[in-house]
Amino acid sequence: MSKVTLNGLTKRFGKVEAVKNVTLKIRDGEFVALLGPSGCGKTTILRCIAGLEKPDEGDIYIGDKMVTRLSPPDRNVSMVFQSYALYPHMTAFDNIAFPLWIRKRPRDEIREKVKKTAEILEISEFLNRKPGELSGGQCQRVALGRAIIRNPAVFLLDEPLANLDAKLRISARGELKRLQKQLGATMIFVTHDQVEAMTMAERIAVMNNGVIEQFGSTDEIYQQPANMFVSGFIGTPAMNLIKCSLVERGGSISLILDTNTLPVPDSIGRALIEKIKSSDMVFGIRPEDISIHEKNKPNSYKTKVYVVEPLGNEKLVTVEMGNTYSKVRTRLDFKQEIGENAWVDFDWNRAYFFDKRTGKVIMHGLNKSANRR
Amino acid sequence: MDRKTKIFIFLFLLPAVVGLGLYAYYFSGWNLSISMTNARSLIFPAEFIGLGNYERFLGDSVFITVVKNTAIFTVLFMGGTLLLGLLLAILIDQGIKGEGLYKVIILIPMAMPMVISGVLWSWMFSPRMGVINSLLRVLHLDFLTQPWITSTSQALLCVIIAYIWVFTGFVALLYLANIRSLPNEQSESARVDGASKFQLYWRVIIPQLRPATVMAFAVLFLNSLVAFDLVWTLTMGGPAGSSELLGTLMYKQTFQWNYFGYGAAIAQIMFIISMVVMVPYLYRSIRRR
Ligand SMILES: Nc1ncnc2c1ncn2[C@@H]1O[C@H](COP(=O)(O)OP(=O)(O)OP(=O)(O)O)[C@@H](O)[C@H]1O
Ligand SMILES: [Mg+2]
Repeated sequence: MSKVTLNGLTKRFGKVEAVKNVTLKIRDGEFVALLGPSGCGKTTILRCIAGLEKPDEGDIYIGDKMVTRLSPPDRNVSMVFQSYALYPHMTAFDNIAFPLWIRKRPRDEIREKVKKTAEILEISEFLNRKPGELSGGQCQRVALGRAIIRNPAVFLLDEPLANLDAKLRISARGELKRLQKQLGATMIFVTHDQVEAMTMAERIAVMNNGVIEQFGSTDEIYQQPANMFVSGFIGTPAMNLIKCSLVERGGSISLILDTNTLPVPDSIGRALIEKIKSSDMVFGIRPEDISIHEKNKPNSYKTKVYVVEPLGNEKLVTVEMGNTYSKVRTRLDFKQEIGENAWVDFDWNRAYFFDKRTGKVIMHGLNKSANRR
Repeated sequence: MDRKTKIFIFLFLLPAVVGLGLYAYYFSGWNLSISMTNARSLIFPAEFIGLGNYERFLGDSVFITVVKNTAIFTVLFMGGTLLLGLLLAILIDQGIKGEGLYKVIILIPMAMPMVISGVLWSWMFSPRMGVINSLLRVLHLDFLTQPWITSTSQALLCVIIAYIWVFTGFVALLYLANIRSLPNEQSESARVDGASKFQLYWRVIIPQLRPATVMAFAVLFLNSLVAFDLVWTLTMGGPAGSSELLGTLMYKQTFQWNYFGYGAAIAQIMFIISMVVMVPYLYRSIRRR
């Protein structure tokens, strides 16, 4: 097992800059997710690490060894492709044995290791079948088997769960996480599913447009998003982002959202004023940090219910405030229907403020508690 | 599929089926009937002699030669073409520059009329003036010069080489298309897992080339059975019958010596061999998919 370091990695395809000056330090034995929307360069980074793509700039280290110019076989990495890339003419056994087979290991050793790998992955019964006779989940495990049968420095997994159905995907998440712990392996996996990244990875690199927007633990990514992109990408549903401006009138500080004026608690307002250059900014608040009421309450704001989505154990309500829509998580017994009025107030200690131009976070209520920790 | 679509498909297929039926079945039948007569032309009436022509052929002194030559020809021609075609496909698959151009160039022999290929190769193989021997002399390698098509031991080999040359490009393109249709990720995965180029092709790619092989096998086998034009222009089956094949023998018997019945019997035998091999072969390979 080894650490992996990317140093100023850039990869272009013609005019497209798929990966832009990415620097990433992954620790030995760490489980890291590359998370981002389609086309942001996740696969390209993985392929650069595997040696299937030559970077235009920057260096790649596996352990302490620079591998930038080494060919794939010399890098000692295992890769699971999104399509699994199993060999259709070979049985599951031969597929798993392939990496040892081409290394001309003795037959007994191969049989022994395949048997052990199959036991770990619970596919012992299917070893005589060819990929065409296996289900998606079984194929995925055969592909994993082929990756773990030798001891590579790093595992690279490209959307390993994407081809599974919803239910299987959830159980596979747990299995993969256990497997990683069991092997103590450095694993980098690609996904565009933030829930998958949050539930499995120790640290997440959130990518957008070829750059890493933030690299941090799941808690950091969730509680201290570095910018609007990250905050808008993480959470189900993601954080509400509302354009607003800050005004100070007669000693009290308020946010102007469209036509609504929201007084802001003094401590937060003062701190904000010290940090901002322009009064225009973006206010961010998670759906679970908004309370919604059927009746008017002091310091709450009148909104109109736009849509209500019951989720079984709670309701997701979208409310209309002027021209903006916000999602609110609330109890199942919330009664108002579409078109009726509702009143919301915000947990200011969990509010985020972003620079409208750069998207960078200016401040969030958690700053104080984060400092105390 | 609804009824209307089915009827449409039937109507569109009808002309082809009728044409093919007439050609394949009517003329085959006609050939069969002639093969059981002692016809010496297509106009004058002939006598029915049953299987006499077939008996005569089996007892004919050239029979053994022709069977031996045809067997050697089929095995070497098919083996050589499949092997060279595969190697060529793998070479082109390496991502060389100007791939499109190479693809056109290697198809030229197939596109050229066989008779012209025959003339070209007779220039190559001519013992005194031929390209190969002249080149060897220029390089002062005179001791390597060969009698080529004038030698009873080399004529058949020359014919085989010329046939391999004609079909290799076609087979290479079949293989190349098959290789390219395999998911790229399979070879990438193999490379990441440490496979060498040789192991990649030997273990991963070649075992998956069955569709192209099936196709190439069928085309090559039928062509080796009916091989005629190139043989005729190069050696006319000679010298002394050393490159005589079913095709040349049939032609000589029918059109040079006017034994139409006998020639038809040889054609009938070619037909039977091709059916015996091809029908089960095609049936199995189509069923497999
Ligand atoms: N071989 C290639 N040639 C040209 N452009 C490419 C190539 N591979 C990737 N790209 C481009 O590079 C960018 C990043 O692609 P990449 O496959 O890394 O995205 P991704 O994050 O893996 O997306 P997805 O989630 O859809 O798999 C895309 O704009 C893509 O079009
Ligand atoms: Mg991808």
